[in-house]
Amino acid sequence: MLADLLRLQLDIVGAHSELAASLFGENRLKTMAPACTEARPVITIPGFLASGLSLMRLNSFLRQQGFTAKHWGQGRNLGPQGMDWGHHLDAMVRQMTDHIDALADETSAPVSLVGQSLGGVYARELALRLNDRIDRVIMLGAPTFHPYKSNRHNRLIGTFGYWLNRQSATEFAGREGMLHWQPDRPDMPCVAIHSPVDGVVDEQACHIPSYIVAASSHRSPRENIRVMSSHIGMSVSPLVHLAVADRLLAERANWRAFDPMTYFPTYLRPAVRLLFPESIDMTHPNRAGVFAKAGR
Amino acid sequence: MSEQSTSHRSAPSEQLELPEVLHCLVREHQHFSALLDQIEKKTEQVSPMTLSDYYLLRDIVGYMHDYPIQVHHPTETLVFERLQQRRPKLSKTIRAMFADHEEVAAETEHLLFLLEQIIQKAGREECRAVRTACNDFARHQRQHMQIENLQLFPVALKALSDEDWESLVVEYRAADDPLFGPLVARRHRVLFEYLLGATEQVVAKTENAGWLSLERFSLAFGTLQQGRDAYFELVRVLVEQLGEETSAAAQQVLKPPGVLALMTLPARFATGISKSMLRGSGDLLKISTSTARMFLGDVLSISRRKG
Repeated sequence: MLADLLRLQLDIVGAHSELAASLFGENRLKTMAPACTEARPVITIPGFLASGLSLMRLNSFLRQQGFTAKHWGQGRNLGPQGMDWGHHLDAMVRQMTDHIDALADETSAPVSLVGQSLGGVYARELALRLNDRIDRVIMLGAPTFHPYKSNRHNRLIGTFGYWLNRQSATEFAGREGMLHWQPDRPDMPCVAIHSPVDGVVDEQACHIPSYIVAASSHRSPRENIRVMSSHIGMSVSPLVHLAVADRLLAERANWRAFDPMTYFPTYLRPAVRLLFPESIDMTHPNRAGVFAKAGR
Repeated sequence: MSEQSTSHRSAPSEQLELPEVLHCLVREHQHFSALLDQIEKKTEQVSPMTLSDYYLLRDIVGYMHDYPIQVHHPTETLVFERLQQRRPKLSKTIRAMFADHEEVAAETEHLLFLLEQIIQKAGREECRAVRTACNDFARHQRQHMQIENLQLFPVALKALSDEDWESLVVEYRAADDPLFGPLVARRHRVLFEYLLGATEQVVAKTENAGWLSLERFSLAFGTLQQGRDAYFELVRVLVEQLGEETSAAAQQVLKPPGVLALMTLPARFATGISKSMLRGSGDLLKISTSTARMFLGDVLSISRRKG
């Protein structure tokens, strides 16, 4: 618990420095990041215990770049609060459908969802249920919940979540768990942005497994972007903002992986490599062979 | 990931010069063995099993119930029937194997039932029954596979001609493995991702992780964390047990069942507490030593790599 408390404190410190970087580098980021020339509606969903205010800077950045960005309009995200996850999501779908439809009608374009942490989980699950209305999903440090694979999430947050929701992660996710999408369903792009220095959730749980990324098609690309950022500060980090804007504008028909190098001068490349570390590869070319090796 | 279509099982590797059917069977035995390792790892853990553990066991046993019945055992039956024609002397062993297939299937079904039951409601007795049933299941499966691997397959390799093997390839039920095959079936995805994580650890231990690598560090750190979690879980269970015993004794004081029972109550209470404490201390010692052993294993392999 003490280690987790330290992790959380470091994360908060990191978030503050990212906020400072965002405030100082606002103008620079605005000129660097891609701008939107057509109607692109975006709904942002805050993380656990956060309200729409936490995504204020992300929304304002996206609006500056020409997107029609709005927060989810449901107030503070308190999680399911003891409710069964399935029922909770059904209720959420009912509440969000009108909001999504209104924004889609206003802009005459399908809506993109950007969710942070638990908000990312909502975005992922909402898009599954409302896939005809959603254009793409971008998750910022959004974990998956596996029914029996242990993850190193911050247990302080886990304990608080248990106290508030009166159910453990295993009970919450059920025996099927809440995993990333299949490679082919739903038929839309999904981007997971995660950080190796995340002080709240385990990065491995946010990473879309490489076997899914490899099997995904051009029609439904799955992509991981690894960025140095605190968990709480993902909504204010200029690096994350840059990646989000880039991915929101990526062409669905001609999807190419995010390349941060294109936004920075050549002499900064070593630094960019540190800030956007290479994605961890979880795919083994011969997994059957490895399983056999794992056996007796 | 879509539910897979029926297609041919993956082609044999070039390193092993076994007939295709036999190669598939041997490889499937390796997969089953890896899964049995996971079952044994769970049942051997000192700390009490949790809902997550039962989910894992249920998924493994579910796979080991479906796939062998649908694909693995019918393939073996084809091979053994042909072997029986070529080596009539082996009839007895082969008939025993067929009977064992039935027995294994019934045992698996029973274990599945127990696991479903314990997922609904976990009691101390049920936990013990599941542990025992899992151990019996793993032992029986290993024995069964050992007889096939060491007695029947080598003889089949010698006794069956190339034509036999070719005709078996045509006959045997061609279906991809839904867990270890090229496409993972939706119902096995949760288990697959768990195994992928376990495999990564094996790979990190044996191949990838270099000196002072993040993977190596997280592996050693993970070992310590697992040990600590098991330690706290056991302490929690111990405290619960002591609480239960104290409340049972208090109830007997308030409503004594008889004079003799009341007089012997302090002695029985002290004995019960001592037994729990002794057993708990032993378990805690076991956890400490196994954690230290595993951690040292990680550290030593770091030193070896360093050297």
